[in-house]
Amino acid sequence: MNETLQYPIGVDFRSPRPRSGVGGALLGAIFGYAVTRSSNGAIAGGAVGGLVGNQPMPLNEALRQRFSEKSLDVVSFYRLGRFGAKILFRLNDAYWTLESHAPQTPVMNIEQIEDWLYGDITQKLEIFLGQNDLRLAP
Amino acid sequence: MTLKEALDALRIAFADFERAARSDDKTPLQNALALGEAKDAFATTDNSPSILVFADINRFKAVNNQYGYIAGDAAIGQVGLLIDEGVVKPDWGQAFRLSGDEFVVLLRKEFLSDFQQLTRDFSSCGVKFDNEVFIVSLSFGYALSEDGIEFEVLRERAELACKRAKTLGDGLCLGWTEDLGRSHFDSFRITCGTCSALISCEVPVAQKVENLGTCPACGSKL
Repeated sequence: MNETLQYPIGVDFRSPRPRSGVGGALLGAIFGYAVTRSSNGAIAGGAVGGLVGNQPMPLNEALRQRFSEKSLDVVSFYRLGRFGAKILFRLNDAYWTLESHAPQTPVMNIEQIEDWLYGDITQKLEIFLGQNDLRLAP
Repeated sequence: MTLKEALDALRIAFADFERAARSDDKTPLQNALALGEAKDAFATTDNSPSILVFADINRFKAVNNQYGYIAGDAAIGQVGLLIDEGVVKPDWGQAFRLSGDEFVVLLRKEFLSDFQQLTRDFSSCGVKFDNEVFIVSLSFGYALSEDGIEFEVLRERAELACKRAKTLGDGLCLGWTEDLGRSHFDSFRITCGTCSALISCEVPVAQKVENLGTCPACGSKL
């Protein structure tokens, strides 16, 4: 998690998308192995990927991962313009949607908007699960 | 992390990547890419699937119009889930979602009768969506593999049988027959390569057409 992430003044905090070099390292290792067909290539690729890969996942993937950690199947992800997103998921044989709209301030960059939407939807998910008294994976 | 652990992690990552590339994003089924690969193994052995089933959601456009396209996606998800539970999990065959609301099942022949029983359940599938419930249904058409008949032709036959099944009732499963094929014609126009005459043609749908006859104007082969 990127603890240093800051939103512009006046924008409520929302937990940003997780950041980890592991994905980049893995992709780098795959690329290194694919190019060189050797374990040394995979290791070198992994090292480079780890260095440059400390980027958050795209919003869609980050949300799918978060929902899957809660044992929820995401059916579809919808982008609602630059500042909005909606997700359709299945829970107990029923289908539900959660929607979020980030504050439309020009001082938020794309990465901040994606992080805010991620945090807002995951927060709404917790509220949703609480309201429905659902005991799922932590 | 040791080298062995790193390579094991790579192997798992490759397997996950390959699985994801062939998985449908809205249902637990496989996607069109996987179907393209599965057709090579279709009807090759006694144990492999040899019946191609086609289905799509009846009146799907009305569902989208009435409840919205996200509810339509929920319907696709629910139908995919039911097909997965009814066909894939008991190992009757493989199931795929193509585009939109179209589904293909490659069925093993010994389960055709069971499958026809199962399709009755698809006459009324409840979809619970954001505190509402709406009903969707499917009808099915199938075609049996035949020597010399291409997979794509079988798919067209199954699709044609599905269209006919829709006219007869929800949850029905109808097999393609020669009579059904003869009763549906495609009309189109072609230009004669020799004299440039515009010729109207009618050919049976889902039958392999290799010979369109001769041009009525100049007599050359079309």
